[in-house]
Amino acid sequence: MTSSRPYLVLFLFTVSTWEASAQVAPLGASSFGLQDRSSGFGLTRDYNPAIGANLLLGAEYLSRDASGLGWPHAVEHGAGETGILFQEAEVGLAAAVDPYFRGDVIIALHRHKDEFHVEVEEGYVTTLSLPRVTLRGGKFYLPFGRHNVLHTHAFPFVDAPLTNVVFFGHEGLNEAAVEAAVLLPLPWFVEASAWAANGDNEILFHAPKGRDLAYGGRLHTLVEFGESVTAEVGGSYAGGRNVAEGWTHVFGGDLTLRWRPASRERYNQLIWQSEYVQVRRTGPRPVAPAEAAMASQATLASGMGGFYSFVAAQVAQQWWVQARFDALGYPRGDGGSRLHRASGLLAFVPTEFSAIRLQYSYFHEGHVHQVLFQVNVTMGAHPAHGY
Amino acid sequence: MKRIAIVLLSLAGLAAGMEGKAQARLRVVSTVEDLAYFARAIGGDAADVQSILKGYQDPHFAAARPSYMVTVSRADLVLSVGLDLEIGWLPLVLQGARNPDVLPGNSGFLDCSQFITPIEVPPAGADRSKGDLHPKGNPHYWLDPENALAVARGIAARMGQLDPASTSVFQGGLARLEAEIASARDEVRTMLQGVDPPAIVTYHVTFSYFFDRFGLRATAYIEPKPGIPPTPSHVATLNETLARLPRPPLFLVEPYYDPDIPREMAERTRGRAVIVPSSVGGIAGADSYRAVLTAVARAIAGK
Repeated sequence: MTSSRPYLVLFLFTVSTWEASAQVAPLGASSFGLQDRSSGFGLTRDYNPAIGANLLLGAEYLSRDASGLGWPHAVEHGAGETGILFQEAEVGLAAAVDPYFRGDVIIALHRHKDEFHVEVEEGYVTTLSLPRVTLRGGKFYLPFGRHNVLHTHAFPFVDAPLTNVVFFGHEGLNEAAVEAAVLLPLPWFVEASAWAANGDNEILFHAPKGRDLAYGGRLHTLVEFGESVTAEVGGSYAGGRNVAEGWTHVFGGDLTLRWRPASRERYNQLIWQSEYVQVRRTGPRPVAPAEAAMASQATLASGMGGFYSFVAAQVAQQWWVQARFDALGYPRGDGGSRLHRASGLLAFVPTEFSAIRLQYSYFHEGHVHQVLFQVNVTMGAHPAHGY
Repeated sequence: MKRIAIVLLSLAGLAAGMEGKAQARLRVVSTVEDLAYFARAIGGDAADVQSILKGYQDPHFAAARPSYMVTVSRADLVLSVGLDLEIGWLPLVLQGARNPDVLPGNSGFLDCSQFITPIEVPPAGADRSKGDLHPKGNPHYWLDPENALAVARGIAARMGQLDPASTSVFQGGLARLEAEIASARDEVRTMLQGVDPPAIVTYHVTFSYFFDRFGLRATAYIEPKPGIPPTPSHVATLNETLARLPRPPLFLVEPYYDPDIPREMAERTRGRAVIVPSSVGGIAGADSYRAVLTAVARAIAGK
């Protein structure tokens, strides 16, 4: 304590001297530069990207080891065991680059198989100045269905549907890609998008030669029934070379009905959303290779289909009640098995920037009970969420 | 050959769609009904004006419905309130519309807040612990008729830039609108003349500009902080305070807030709860800017 006093005195003296010179002698030496309009060093916060952060924390209870389910990926978004959960921290940066481009970077710290990983979840450039079409390049969630494009903090439930986790892997269909999305010149909303991506998804595609791309597209429309009800229908496709040198085709269809009564927007909403995904493989059945990442390509049965369907009801301004049913094995495909899960969720949403959610899931096969508790917060600037 | 024909036909269709846009009357799309009301009055037959939201809808909680993108994709001019009122949905709609002419920074986008001086600008360093503050100031500025005049002039000027051939129509429309706004302002002044207003409680800071203009003030807000829903303890404390006032309070309720809480509060405090429009079309009969202002004034004057 004694040794810090001289510094304190010096600091106070410096501050008082600076204040005095600024007030008493505005034209004195200390005021030089106060009116300058350039930083001089080129260091400025002007035009910094908008910065936002999301934190997903919570806890998990599993009645028994989920590995007994026979589906290694089915509980990816929890810790996979009973305990306190640090699900993810996500930092997003976004800015207009210039009049022609917008840039987005999302960096995520998340837990996967007992280890924390930092990764560029998304990083892409979008065109702003082209009529009718948006071109996008970088690494991003490919437009397949409705759930695949969501970041973890925007998931309707604490975890992802079984179809997305088991068919696309814990990172989803998220690849280095280029995309063109066209708003068709029709009286109602129809968007068509096509993309080409590096075909190295851990479960679906494998591009050993480094030149085999995966391709896909999505057609998505919205129909309005009055000012409070909308229906959205979409169809998606993704295809690419797999580990056995054959092709993997993925087909998806989705339907979302939404009731959002005009003038009650902040109080009530009802969403019924369903999505179906099927994976088909051509070529010889892959033999499980030594690399663990590729093993899942061999275990996923060709022709396997799955779906989810959920209802989410905003019953009051701060309360949501939700129920979901999802299943794999419809059809079972080439020797695959089935998995069924039913989930219920209660959410208290104090503001748009925080949510406290409690979710219960029951896996029919293996009779596993899972409880997930999540605190989901958003800080800083956050881009608007899609419809 | 067939494929080439299909591609060519598709391109021709696209081109035809864009051609149609160039030939049509000036297409103006606004986020809220009030800006559309001004643009309609200015544009007359020379403009086709549409509001994305109706007057009874909550502009804070609108969603980026894809059909709005279709509407904006055909617009020559988009009128925005600005001050981050539409931050939760308009940016997505603008980008999804894929119409570069109406993106911010281009002549087809008009942030109308540039014509007014914002009030209730939070101090630098404010954060969300103080509620969902608008860092650039209160965005409900159109309820001050002087602001409405400035905004109307700004809209007319931009419409004239985009469609110079219709400038005389726009100027004529503006002159009539200015007269209407000025007379509405005078009518409200007359209505409030000699009125000793009761303590006014509003749900949100929606009427601050109106109050400032006409020498009124809000005694309390039902929201404990901007954008934060009322808690039972906040409501109970408010009731207690309001019940002790010498005169019963007046609750002004915007049409997109739950009326049950203010009605219950009015019962407990022997006050009145009145649903008043905060936009054109906010309630039945509020079909003009004058009707909006006079409806609020009538509630305050108790007439």
